[in-house]
Amino acid sequence: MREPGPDYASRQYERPNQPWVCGLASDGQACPAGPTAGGACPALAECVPTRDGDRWMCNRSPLRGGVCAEGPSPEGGCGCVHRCRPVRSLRSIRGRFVTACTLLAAGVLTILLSADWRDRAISPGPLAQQHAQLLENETSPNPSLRGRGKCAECHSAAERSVAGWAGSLAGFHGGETGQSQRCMECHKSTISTEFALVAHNVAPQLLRQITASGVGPSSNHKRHELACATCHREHRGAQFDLVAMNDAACQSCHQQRYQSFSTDHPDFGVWPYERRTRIVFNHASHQAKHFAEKKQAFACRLCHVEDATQSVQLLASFENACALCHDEKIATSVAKGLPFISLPTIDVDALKTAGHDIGPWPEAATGDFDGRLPPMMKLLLAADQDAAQAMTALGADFDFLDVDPDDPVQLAACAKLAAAIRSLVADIGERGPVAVRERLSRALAPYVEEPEVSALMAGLSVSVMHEAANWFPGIDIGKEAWPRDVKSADLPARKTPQYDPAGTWFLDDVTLSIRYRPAAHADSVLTSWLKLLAATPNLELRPLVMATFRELSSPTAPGLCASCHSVERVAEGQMTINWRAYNRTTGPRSLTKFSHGPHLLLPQLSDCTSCHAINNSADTAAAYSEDNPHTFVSEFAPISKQQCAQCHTAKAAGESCQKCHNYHVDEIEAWRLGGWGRGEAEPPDARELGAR
Amino acid sequence: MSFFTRRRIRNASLLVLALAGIVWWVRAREQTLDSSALGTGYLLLAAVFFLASYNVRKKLPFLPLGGSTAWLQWHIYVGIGTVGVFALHARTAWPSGWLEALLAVTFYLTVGSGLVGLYLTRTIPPQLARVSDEITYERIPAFRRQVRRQAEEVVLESVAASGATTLADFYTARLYGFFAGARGWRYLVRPTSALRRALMREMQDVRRYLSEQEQIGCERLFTLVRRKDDLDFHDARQKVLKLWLFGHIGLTYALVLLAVLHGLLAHAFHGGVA
Repeated sequence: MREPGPDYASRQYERPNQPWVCGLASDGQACPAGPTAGGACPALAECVPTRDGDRWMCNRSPLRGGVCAEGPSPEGGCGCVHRCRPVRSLRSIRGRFVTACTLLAAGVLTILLSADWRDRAISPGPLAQQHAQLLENETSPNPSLRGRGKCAECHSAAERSVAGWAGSLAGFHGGETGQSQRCMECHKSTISTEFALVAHNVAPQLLRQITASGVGPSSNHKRHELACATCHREHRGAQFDLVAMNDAACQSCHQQRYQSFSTDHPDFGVWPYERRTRIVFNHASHQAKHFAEKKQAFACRLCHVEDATQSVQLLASFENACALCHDEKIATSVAKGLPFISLPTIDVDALKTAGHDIGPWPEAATGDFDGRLPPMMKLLLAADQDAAQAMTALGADFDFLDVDPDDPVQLAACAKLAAAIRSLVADIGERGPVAVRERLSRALAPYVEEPEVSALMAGLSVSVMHEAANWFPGIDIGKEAWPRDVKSADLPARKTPQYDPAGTWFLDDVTLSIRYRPAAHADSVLTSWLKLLAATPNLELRPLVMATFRELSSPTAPGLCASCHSVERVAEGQMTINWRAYNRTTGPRSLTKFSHGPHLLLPQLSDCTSCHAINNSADTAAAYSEDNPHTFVSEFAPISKQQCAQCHTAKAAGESCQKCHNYHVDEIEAWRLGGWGRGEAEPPDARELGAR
Repeated sequence: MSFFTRRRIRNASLLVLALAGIVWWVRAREQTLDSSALGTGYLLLAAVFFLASYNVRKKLPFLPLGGSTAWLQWHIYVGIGTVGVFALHARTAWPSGWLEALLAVTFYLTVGSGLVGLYLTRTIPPQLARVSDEITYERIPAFRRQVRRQAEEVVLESVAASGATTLADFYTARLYGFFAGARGWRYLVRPTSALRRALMREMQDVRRYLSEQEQIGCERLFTLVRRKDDLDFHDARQKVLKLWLFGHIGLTYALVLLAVLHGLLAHAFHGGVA
């Protein structure tokens, strides 16, 4: 530290901390007293002159320079009075400047928060392009949000004042709608609102079922709930990828650490062959036998075609892929027509002997018991209580050929059935679709609507039924047209299915039957009967209906429908027939995703069998013997993870979780839930557990 | 190794360690799907309040809050640390929202003015020490007046002793304005010795026209010109030392206001809570 200058020990006493300084200071003549605290000049004299006789004498202290040259005034006043206009000190000016800056900032913020464009001003940045219309449009695309401010479409806080915002510091939100709930107002069509905030949008018990360790909750989602904004960070610009996530985000819940796909990821297990295919198809036999016999090249691309996005391989249509060979077989199977109503041969004499008078019965259908009732006819008869009891007595899958003429019980049942058959023919002949609807509604329990009945008997003319009634002597149902189905018309209409033109109905007087010859593949009448039966609830508890369904859906049944379209059990004891192959573009979103397009570009993967190698030893047919689609042996060899790991490394094709996995899922793949494919009889019902 | 060097190394090491800890914490939060923005935001706000309290501390010297030297050290290193925390918090150098951009600009200007001040407080005192003795800023006008009076006395004495007015004429023409008052704003921004050298060169030139008595006076004027120039240099440099604080403190309070509003908005509009 250097010593003070030689002039330091001056008489002057500086006061830089005071708000005012002497106005003469800038000229180097500041008075020793300085201004008052209020900034007034005290105008003090340097001395108080003393009187010596009639003279006034200067009394200035030697410390202030001694006697001054000016001397006192004639009235005895000091001649050295300092007068100035005090000025603010530098410190005071700085304080005022800082205050001004603060007030300016506060003013700007007040204007900003009270202006119409407040929302735009406080927005932390542009929204991603998917949400851009929320800020740019004057009206919200969501009707429930119209009338709110722009920010209010997502933030409840936008409807509050600054004081309300301060309240949020104390966690007081006044029961307002959370931001995630606001998100769901628009996204409820794609994500379940019930589980929107739950990991992967599936019920927590399902998640626990997938992994024994369960979901490891981190600090902010102890209730296993994650706000949308946890992952989807908005206000980062139009081009910001809202759905991009890094692997660390996944690993925050998934406790098993994945450093590398090749070393840490488990093998694929059954994926992607999680269940048998919906369309029954034996790749091995088609390749080795059927295509070879036709001298056709067995190329995967003949049947599997890319969708518009080149991501999914869709199955080609029947006409393009199957019709060449299978049309002929289908036509042959239905050449004789599918019996709708067929009169069995009844041993009238045996019945009379046993004391059963069945009335007039066609001569052509009289003789030893013989014949089977067509499945559709059985259903219509089942509405008749006597007939239902008779069929139950004879057995759900009975044949008249098996009736013992000496068995009084069976004879009684046959007598009831014969009477019921005659009533059925007369009833349908007289009332047509009304009778069919009433009978099916009674037999299947759920109400059957007129459009459905129209599809079931599309093309069946009243004249055919009138002629059929003529088989029975003594029955006169007239020639009137069928009445309109008034009851059904009064009910709220369901969606009417659209079908191609139906086939032809014809009367066979030789076999005394009404038959239906389907038009072609995917015949509307045949599929309508199958759909109606499959959708009947609790089939297992209704042996007669089940037997009917089994007969119609047998792989060898006329039309050969079930030889290619697999039948499987679904919820509530219902069955379903897979009329179409699985379409991943419209199917529920699952945890795993895959895009074929970029893979097929690679020369080493352009051949589908490089990944999907056919397992010639698999018994494909056996896989369809059960109703459980997950009890099967895949006809493809399992896909090895190492095959993918050759390219999917961090430095090549990438190995992030999102490459192959979706976060938001509509449905957990059944194989992840355990049990399926491992011998368990019943699958866990994901729908009951809450998965969409 | 000097005390200052040791102190600088120690404080810088502590700062690096603290920043590394914050980075680790932020990464840990992000890996658990938690947002670190609220945490780093609170840290920044606390840091801004602490930095602003230095000014309050200087107004309350009677309170036992520690020495000003320690406060300054904390102020400097916490201030530098806020840049790192800000980078972790904002994740972008230039936020796209209006309010946040305003906040960022205010933050940058405050930090920038602080760094400028740090540079000035580290470079100006040695410059002043090299020039002359310690001079109190508030007394510079008085010293300037004293030098002017001495110069006028020298000139009057030389006129009286020599009977010639050559030196007096030169003083009136060239030196009167120099001694009369402070220098202009250009000198405040960039103080140079060009004027002093020019005046001395002219005085040197005029010496040959001076009488012997006047030359003695001229020699004394040389000394007074140097003294006046030193005073001007002190005045300009010390003024810079005081003026930069205007910007720094003014921006600080604006920053505090903006940061508080930003925090309110962040809390109220936070979407991360289920």
